[in-house]
Amino acid sequence: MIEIKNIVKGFEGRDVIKDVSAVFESGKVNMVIGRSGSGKTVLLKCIVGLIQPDSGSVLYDGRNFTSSPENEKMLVRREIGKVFQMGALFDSMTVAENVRFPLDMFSNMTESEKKDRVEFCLEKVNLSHAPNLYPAEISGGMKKRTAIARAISLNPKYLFCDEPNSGLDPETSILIDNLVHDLTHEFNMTTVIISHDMNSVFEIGENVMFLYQGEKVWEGKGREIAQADHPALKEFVFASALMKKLHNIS
Amino acid sequence: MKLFLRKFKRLNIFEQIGQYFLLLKKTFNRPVKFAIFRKQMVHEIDQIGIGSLPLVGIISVFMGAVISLQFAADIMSTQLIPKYTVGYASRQSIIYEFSTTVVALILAGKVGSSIASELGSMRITEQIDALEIMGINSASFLILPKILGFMFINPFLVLLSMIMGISGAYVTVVSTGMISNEDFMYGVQMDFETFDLVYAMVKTVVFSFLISSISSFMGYHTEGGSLEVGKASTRAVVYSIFSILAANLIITYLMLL
Repeated sequence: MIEIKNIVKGFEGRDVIKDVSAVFESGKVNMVIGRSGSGKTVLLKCIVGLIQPDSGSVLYDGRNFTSSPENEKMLVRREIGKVFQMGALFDSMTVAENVRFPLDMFSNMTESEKKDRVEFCLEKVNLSHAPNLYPAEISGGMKKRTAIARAISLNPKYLFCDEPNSGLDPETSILIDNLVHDLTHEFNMTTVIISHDMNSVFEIGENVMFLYQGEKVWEGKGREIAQADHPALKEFVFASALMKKLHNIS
Repeated sequence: MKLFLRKFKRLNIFEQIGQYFLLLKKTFNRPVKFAIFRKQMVHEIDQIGIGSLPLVGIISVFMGAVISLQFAADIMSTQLIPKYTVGYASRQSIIYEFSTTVVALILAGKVGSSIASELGSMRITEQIDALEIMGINSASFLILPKILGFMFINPFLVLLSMIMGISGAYVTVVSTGMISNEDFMYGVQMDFETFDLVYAMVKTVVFSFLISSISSFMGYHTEGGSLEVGKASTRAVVYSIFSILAANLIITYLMLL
């Protein structure tokens, strides 16, 4: 479980995150949604420690991450898997080497155990056919799947995904959503997904938090979001013509 | 004056120097796994050192040839200076300045821009963030092998440059019959002191450190997109060159005077 308490972060005198608190439960897909520029990515960076919040704290299963010294933060980070928006795969490594990298760095596995683990992770994301390809040779969807395989290679307790299906076609998008959902339940991970894709919210969002101009203005279950009465959230959820039509029908 | 002060303020030079030393502090940390570190260092030695061999070799041969021709032309125009001076003066110029400082300036362009653009690209594509998230000290993981690898291989490059430079000089002035083999060889060996090589090696190691660390700093702190990677690369070369020139002056003052 991850708990964030009163997170505040500003840049050049402007508050981007305003006193946000939340609890992300383990074994569930927790989603943070909001418009572009609402502060989702900044909040995620504060949670994983890439940005130091101006105030507030982040607790990983009760361990205060924000005020920990750097060496303790490093230990917590080894329990974290993160899928970056653009994949952030290492260019000089093949798909298999990317997945193997965390194992080489932090595990005491034998060569054959590492090989088995890489094969297992690639199989999970349907990439068993492409272990020797370089990131430059694979599609956007494959990159995202490789990033997921790399993120789960060390069996993380916490999984963070920054817009995992942005720029993907609807089919691949659903594939990625289902993959993250299944992995979360199978390995009882605390998963936090940053997204503005309403499809994903309806498909896999179990706990959803809506950020508006850096503030948390709504929180609830994924299935409750259509009934929410916050005007900014309503506008966000029913922004597309398709969603409007579906809303009118229902 | 106002414009100069405004530009100076925008450069924020003291903040940059502070960040540079903080990055060095972060860089010089124990590697997570020594086997991986060793593999990376060998890779850097291959990329930086072996990759620069042809460039350093070719430039050294031609520069050695030109230096010796210039001395030969001057000395042959007068009967007062012995001909072996060509060998002596060529050797001293090559060991003192050309193979150390000029080669360092050339490598600042080649190696410096390569390091800055590599790290800059990794920064803007979030590969460095990915390392940090995994609990890896990205500075130590990425920069330390580059600095140590370059400091290790550059003295060999410089030694090669000295040999190639003197060979170029020999071939040019002896094969054309301007100076006899005996005169040239006598001049090259005359008054040779090991301290000259020590001085050259000290300069080389310091320059290697400056090039690799400054370029790494520029690349590591890149913000924005591909345009900024190009700018970081240019800054890396410019700052490396300035620091080499300043260090050259300081080391020469401290060691030769």
